[in-house]
Amino acid sequence: MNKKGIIVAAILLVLALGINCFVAAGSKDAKVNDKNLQVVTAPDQKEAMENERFTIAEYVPEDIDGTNVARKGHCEANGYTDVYPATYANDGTAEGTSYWEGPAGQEAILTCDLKESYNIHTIRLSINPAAIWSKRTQTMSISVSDDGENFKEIVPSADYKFDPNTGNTVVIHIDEVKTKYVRLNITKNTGAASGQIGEIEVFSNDK
Amino acid sequence: MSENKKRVGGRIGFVIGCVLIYFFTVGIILGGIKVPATMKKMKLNSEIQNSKVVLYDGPKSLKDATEEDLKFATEEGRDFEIKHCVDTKVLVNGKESYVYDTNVNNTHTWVDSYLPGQERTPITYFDFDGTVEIIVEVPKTDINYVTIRPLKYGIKPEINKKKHTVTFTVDTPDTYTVEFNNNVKRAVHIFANEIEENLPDFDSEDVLYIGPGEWNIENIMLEDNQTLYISGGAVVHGIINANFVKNVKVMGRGIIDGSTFNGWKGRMAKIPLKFDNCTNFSIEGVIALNPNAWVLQSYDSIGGKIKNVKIISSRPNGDGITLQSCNNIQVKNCFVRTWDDSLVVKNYDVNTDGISFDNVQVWTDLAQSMEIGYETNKGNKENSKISNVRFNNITVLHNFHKPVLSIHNADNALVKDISYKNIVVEEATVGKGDGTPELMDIGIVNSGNWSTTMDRGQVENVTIDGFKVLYGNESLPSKIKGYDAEHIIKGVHITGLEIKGKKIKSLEDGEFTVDDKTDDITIK
Repeated sequence: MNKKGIIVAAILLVLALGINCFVAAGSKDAKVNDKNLQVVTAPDQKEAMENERFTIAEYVPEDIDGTNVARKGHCEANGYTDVYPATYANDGTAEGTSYWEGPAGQEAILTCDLKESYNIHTIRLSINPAAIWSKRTQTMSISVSDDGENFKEIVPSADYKFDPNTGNTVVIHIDEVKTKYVRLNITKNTGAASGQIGEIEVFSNDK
Repeated sequence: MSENKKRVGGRIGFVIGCVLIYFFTVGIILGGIKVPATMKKMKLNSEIQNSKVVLYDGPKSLKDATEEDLKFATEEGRDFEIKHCVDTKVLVNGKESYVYDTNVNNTHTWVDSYLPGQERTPITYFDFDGTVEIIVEVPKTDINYVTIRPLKYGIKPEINKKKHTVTFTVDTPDTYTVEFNNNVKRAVHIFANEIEENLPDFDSEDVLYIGPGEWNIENIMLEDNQTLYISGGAVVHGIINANFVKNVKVMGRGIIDGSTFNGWKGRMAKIPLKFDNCTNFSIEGVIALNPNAWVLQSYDSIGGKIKNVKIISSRPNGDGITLQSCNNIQVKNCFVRTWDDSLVVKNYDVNTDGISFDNVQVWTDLAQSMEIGYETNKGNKENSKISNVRFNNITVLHNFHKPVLSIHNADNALVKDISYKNIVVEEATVGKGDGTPELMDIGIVNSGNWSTTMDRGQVENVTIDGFKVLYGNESLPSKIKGYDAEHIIKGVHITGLEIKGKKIKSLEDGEFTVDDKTDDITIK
């Protein structure tokens, strides 16, 4: 081999080494830059926990004197939605699907016939206490009647807030009045397309 | 011969020199052949090194899934809770991404007891920007063949049979599903999100924050203007509702899990995401798993955005996204795997108008992938109408049971201006179990189960522009059937229908059955 041959061989050697070193180096897997990695860590837990942000304090309902005289009465309405008729409004429970929902798109009127005349002093209205029954405001007035035809307004229209954190219940104290019929005229409900009453309780101290 | 031309080493030196030159040349050629691939690899490595990744540790309280947990059983037959998956590992740029084992239903027959058999499948999620390398390791599986869906990305993974690994890279935020050996069981769903932007002000009173960890929160009821943020790494056992409110949002990367609830069995449905009578709501980024019935419902709502929501249901009536009497709702970039209809539009009350589904991946184990109906006037309203419903860029990964595309007008509504554009069905094995064999089914029907009105309706102006089936049954028939002379289907125009590579240019080629209660049905 002459000198030219040696030079050629040397050049080829350098090229071969260079290319193969390049290939070997370039074929390695990427080293990940930890600066570009964020790991969101989990707290120490041994089991699923309650989340403070969503814990609701226990609600203690207000004690009301007397007897609920609506329980033995009969409720009627100017209509109802789906499968929620007026008879569910005084059946003793506001839970589950036991509630009255008035006709959509119009004033909802619920009339409770107490069957006898009583001196009444408090009305408690409830909807389903489950949290899924979210906060809502119902606007209504209350009237009473002795004959079921001529009603006299005793509580003018006002907003009543139903909140699952407070049992989804409102208590309305009224000046004592003797009556056989109690009527709710619900003109607005921010939580549904019509008025809703899971249970109406009318309290009297009459023996 | 002069000195400088004298050969070094004589003849032997010449031969050795030639051999060396030969080997060096071969070395250069072999090395040179690898240079383009090396340069490509280096470019990829550079992209991977520069990519940003956010990983989320799962709750430490979740139990590891045992072999028993992975067996086929009803929800009453084994522990049904969401688990930490230990037989499948996923590495993202070399770092482990937490894998969950969630319930799926690989059966295709309705069960009257509401107790179909369930299995589990792995899922994982992370956020990234750039290009990431994903390695899926399944030590107990001999890997012969791997499919990575959606097929549109053309991902050709590197399989290492000895290590039981599959390696591939992705550069587009999306859901990637890895299936082994042509089997859908234990398919790995990888939710590769984009990095979160526009986070809410966590100090605001209107922002409800749920951090990483496992939480029992039975009900979350959103009020006006509230934002619920569920962090990645959170598993919330509970439901999120909004009712008669406006401007509410759910966002984050966390999981809303229903596995602690018993199946609804036709009685008590606990819907993970229920937005009724809302105005301007938004649901973005979260994952809903193991619902006890259907998953994301909106009823009587106006203005909604549903984006990058991932859904897997496995129990009866597990409809994915069901919009009832809604107006102006956009569904975008979602993944919906369900054991009942995946994407559903109905009329329960007021008229539906302006619904769009765009870039949604669907996997339907039971029932239909894109369903309008059956209830088109459950509220029994006058002049009921469903209009302007668009399905664009829908990729159906699997559709096992009933039609991929269906309009079932089972009430007296007018169903009008419905369009389907760029629909890709990767596998249509329609008709399994107690399913029906049609690929498409457009009909005016009287349903004993679902009709409310006595009278029937009409269907008008349906356009299907670009509908490809890549794999599927040998025969994939379709049908278009009206009801009577007054209740007809008028104007169905199909272009770009391709079934398993065959361009369909006639109703006959497409195996369409079209009855005489139709008008203006074209295909080209």
